[in-house]
Amino acid sequence: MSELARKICLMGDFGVGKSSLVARFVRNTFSEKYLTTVGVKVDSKEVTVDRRNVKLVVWDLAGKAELDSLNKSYIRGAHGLMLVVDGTREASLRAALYLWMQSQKQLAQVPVVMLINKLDLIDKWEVSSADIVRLSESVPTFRTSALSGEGVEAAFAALAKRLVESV
Amino acid sequence: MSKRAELAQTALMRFLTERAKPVILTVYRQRQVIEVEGDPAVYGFRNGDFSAVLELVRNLLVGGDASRPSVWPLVDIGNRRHTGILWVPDTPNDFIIITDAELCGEELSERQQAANELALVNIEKSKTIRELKLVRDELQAKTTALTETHRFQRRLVDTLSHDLRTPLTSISGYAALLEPHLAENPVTMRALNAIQRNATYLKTLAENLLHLAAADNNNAPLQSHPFALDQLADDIESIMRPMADSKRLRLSVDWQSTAQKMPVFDDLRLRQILLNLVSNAVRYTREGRVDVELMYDGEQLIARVTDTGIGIAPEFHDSIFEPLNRGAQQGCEGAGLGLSIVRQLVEKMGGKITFQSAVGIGTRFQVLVPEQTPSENVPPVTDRAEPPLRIRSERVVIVDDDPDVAEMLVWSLHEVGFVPRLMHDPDAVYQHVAEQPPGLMIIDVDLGMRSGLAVTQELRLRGYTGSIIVFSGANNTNTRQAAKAAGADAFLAKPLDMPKFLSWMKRLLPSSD
Ligand SMILES: Nc1nc2c(ncn2[C@@H]2O[C@H](COP(=O)(O)OP(=O)(O)OP(=O)(O)O)[C@@H](O)[C@H]2O)c(=O)[nH]1
Ligand SMILES: [Mg+2]
Repeated sequence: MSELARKICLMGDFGVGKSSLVARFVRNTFSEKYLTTVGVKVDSKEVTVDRRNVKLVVWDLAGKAELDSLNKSYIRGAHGLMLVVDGTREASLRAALYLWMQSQKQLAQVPVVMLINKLDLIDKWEVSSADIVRLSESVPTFRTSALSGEGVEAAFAALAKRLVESV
Repeated sequence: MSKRAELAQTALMRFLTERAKPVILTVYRQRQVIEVEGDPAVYGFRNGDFSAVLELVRNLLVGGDASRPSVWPLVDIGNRRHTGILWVPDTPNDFIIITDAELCGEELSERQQAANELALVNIEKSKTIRELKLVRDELQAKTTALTETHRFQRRLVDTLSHDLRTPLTSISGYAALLEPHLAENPVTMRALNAIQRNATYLKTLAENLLHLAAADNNNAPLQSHPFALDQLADDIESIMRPMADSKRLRLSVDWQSTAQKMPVFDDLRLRQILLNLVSNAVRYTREGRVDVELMYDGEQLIARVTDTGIGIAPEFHDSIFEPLNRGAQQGCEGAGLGLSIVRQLVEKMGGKITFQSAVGIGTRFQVLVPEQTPSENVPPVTDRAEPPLRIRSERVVIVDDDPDVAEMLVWSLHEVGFVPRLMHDPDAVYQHVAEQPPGLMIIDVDLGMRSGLAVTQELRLRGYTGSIIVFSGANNTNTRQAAKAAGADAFLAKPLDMPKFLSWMKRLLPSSD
């Protein structure tokens, strides 16, 4: 009962792979089919950070390029943010940065990680190595693939670690 | 409350209940359901198992304040079923109210799905359009390259025909020198005549080739300048004389100028016109004579070539200027280009060509060309030969797991003095590069396990700043762009164009020796 529970919100433009990342992280599944998330879908998974059990409550928000009132109400109380970008769409990087900026008004300084997803499609990426280097200077940035699972665990673990540290 | 108001309220409640299908759970400490109102089966909660919804609400409350009421208007509870969830804390028990958001959820869902899919399609579309534009640009570049190739071919033909002319002239010259010494012997004389005839014919061919090369470039400008008319006449005579002599034809070339100045024409082309006409005349005349007259009056040049040859039958009069037309004059073995070239040239100079002919009597061609304006000097096409690649001691690493390609690369790099290191395991590559960063890396995108672009990206993120050339069988603009995004300095398509590859190497390697 005294277990630590932490709320994290996945934000990003539509179709970048938020739900897919959650499916990979929580259920270790992947689907090619795109089913947009309406409202919010909440999942949870227990992780161990520094020998401490943490329940990550993952809020998979409907993808939007900007923070609408519903999402604004949903991110209230979040302990951490996961910003998701589709590496093959440079515009989704701008969207993530904008969402981040908007959410900062709403949230106190909470830990944030940035995921550049669809690494398996690297041959179609628009987001450049230089962008990633620059991003990494201000936010922990991970390259992930919900399809292959690459980087997914590491990204969630990194955020969880920072959530525990900030307790 | 009045009876009417009560009635209205009941109706409203019924309406809302029908619409929202509320289920009200009375719960103890977020863990246990004590009482249920409404039909929980609507939301898939069966057999009194509410563990999922209790877990969901506990999750929803994380980060929030459970001692105050909360509303989550649109929550996906699985299987794409959407609900509104209310949390109403109370003592001793709390309430969870679940309402059906399907009505708005479903519609929203459909709308959002359609809108997002459309947006994705549009993104793909604009990518495709961009791709098409790039393809178009590439095509244009290829066309330019083709034009280059054309120019090269033209130069080749040009050089060839020029180079042919010189030895041919000397062949006919020496043959003419031999003539008096061999005149006694009819067999050697016949042979000599044959040599001369063929040399002359070859010369005309060389001229035509020269013309074709120039005509390839539609706008090959005329090179008009003042020249000596008598020189032209002499040239024609000396070139055609052996051929005429060998057929025992009389050849006369006369010129006449009533102007006080030198004529301004493209003399090379003029010469070509005349050579074609005269060699035709000689070829199609069995006996008699061929007369050439050149007349210049300061405004125009008239050239007349008259023979006593076989003549051109009327049915061919319309077609003798068509290229590759051989029917016009029987017994001819020419390439059939001569007259078509003549007409082209004459028209290019703004002139006119006409002829009269009678079968068995002879033919007269007349060319009339107006004086040309002198051309400005056209700079010669210079060769842009690449200087040879200088050999450097730079370290080069090839990342490829295709042995054929790798071997070819290693071999070609050896040829130009590099001793490349061949690797294929990405992790080994990262380690090697960290320890001894090479000046240049050549990475195959189509690595079996991993995209070479992922390796490229990883190298860049690890701080490698040397040059990277990637190459791939997928030569589309997406990949090209992705290669650039990943941090490649150059993208080359397979099969590798070695000269291009080497020129990139040269460009990317630091120029320190
Ligand atoms: N190749 C590849 N496809 C992915 C990856 N992640 C997601 N996708 C695909 O991208 C599409 C969108 O994925 P979702 O997870 O639904 O995206 P989302 O961010 O949740 O979208 P919204 O809910 O509309 O905001 C789906 O077709 C997925 O199969 C990935 O890592 N690699
Ligand atoms: Mg989603």
